[in-house]
Amino acid sequence: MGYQSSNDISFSSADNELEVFLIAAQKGDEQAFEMIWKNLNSRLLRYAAAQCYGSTMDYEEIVSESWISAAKDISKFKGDFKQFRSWIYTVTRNRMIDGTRKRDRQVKYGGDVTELNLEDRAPRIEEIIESNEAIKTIVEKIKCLPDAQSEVVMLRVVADLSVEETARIVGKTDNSVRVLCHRGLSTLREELTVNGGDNNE
Amino acid sequence: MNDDDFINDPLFNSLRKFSSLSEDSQIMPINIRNAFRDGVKSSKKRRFAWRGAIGAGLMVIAFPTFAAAKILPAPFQHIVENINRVITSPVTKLIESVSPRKKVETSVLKAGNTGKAGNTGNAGNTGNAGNAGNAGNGTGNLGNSDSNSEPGNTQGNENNQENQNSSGESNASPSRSIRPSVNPDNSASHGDGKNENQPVNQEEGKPNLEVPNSLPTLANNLNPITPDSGTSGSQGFSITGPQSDSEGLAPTPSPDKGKPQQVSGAGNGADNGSDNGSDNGSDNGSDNGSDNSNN
Repeated sequence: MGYQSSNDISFSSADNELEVFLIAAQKGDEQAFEMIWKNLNSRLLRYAAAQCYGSTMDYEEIVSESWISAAKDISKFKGDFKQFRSWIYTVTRNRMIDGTRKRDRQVKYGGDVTELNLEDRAPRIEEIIESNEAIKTIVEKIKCLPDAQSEVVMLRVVADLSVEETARIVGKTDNSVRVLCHRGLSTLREELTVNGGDNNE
Repeated sequence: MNDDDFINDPLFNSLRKFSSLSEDSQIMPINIRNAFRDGVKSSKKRRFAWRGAIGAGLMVIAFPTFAAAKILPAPFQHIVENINRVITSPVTKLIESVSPRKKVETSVLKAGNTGKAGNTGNAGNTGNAGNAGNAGNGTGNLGNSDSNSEPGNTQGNENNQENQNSSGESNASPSRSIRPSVNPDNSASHGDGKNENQPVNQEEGKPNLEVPNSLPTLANNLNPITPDSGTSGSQGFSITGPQSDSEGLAPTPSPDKGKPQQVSGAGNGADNGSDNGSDNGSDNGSDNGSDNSNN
């Protein structure tokens, strides 16, 4: 209990610090913006890597473009740090959707998809997923879920966003996000139970 | 299901562990840094552009207003008025050249201005008072010719010519100049030179008109006077004095415009004409008439 409360206090103080950093960054403080970037970039990369897992999209480039657009328009942004976090995740998600559409067009009209395959870069996060069987399994299972459920589960678990923030990003109500999460978790349990049973057999 | 239960589900343990790992390289890439600097510059530009635009708009609104209220310092006032003139004049010209309706409006405005000039026509009305003065001369001559012999006419004409020379101004009262020769008792009562006296004098003077010598005298006296008096209505006006008894002296009175001018001009004419005419007419006429009758 005591540990929980100290965690809450540290979290809130970190939030307050990030709030101050956000205000300073909006006024043009580059160091403050770098602090925000350090705080959010790691999770954002993992979220993008998990979302882009198995596809040819370069999640690092997507995240970098998202940060560039956020850095350009941070002075126009109005809201607290939680809203800023939701905003940067929304930008990343939209860029991933654009990337998916672009890739589909290139495949449809006979474009060279191999040019976009950036396996030579060997992203580390992808390697982590590959190397860790448990992570790889759960990510693959989540990717097998319907798009809405998969997206919500990724945002809730990997990005560690609240229901409200997730609902704001995907453009749904809080209750529908909760329902999607519940259904996704149920499906994952069923799948893992079956696979686990198969594995056990 | 509670939200925390979902997050803390053991199924996601590995995934939570994966997401909580931190990157080793925590240096922001240079492209993001440059983008942040560009964003700061553009936001400053945008902010100053807005402030400048709002400030310029306020100045555009405020300066002409202050200039109209004449509360600006003189140099600024002058500059703003010049700018207003420069800005509005081509537009006004363009509107006048393009829009026929505007032409009509401007012509109406010009007519309105000439309407003001029409006010100067009042001076012409005062010229009528001068005519009244001339009429006084003429009838004064008639009075002279009533009882005249030739020398009396000569003197009377000379006196009347004096009146003409000083005319417009001094020739006004036909009645008083005639009256002593015809009806001396009326001189006091008709001394105001009213128009109503004129027909009376003409009626009273009917026998006098039968004298043939008086007609050329009348013609001589009236002919040169008429154009002068007609054109020099302003003379009658220019000598305006405080006198004001001349109600009927103007042959064509305009009741609306220039009435005081007519009155004053005619008043002069009345007084001068009456004085000169009565003095000359009575003296010359009576003296000459008595002399002639004696002869």
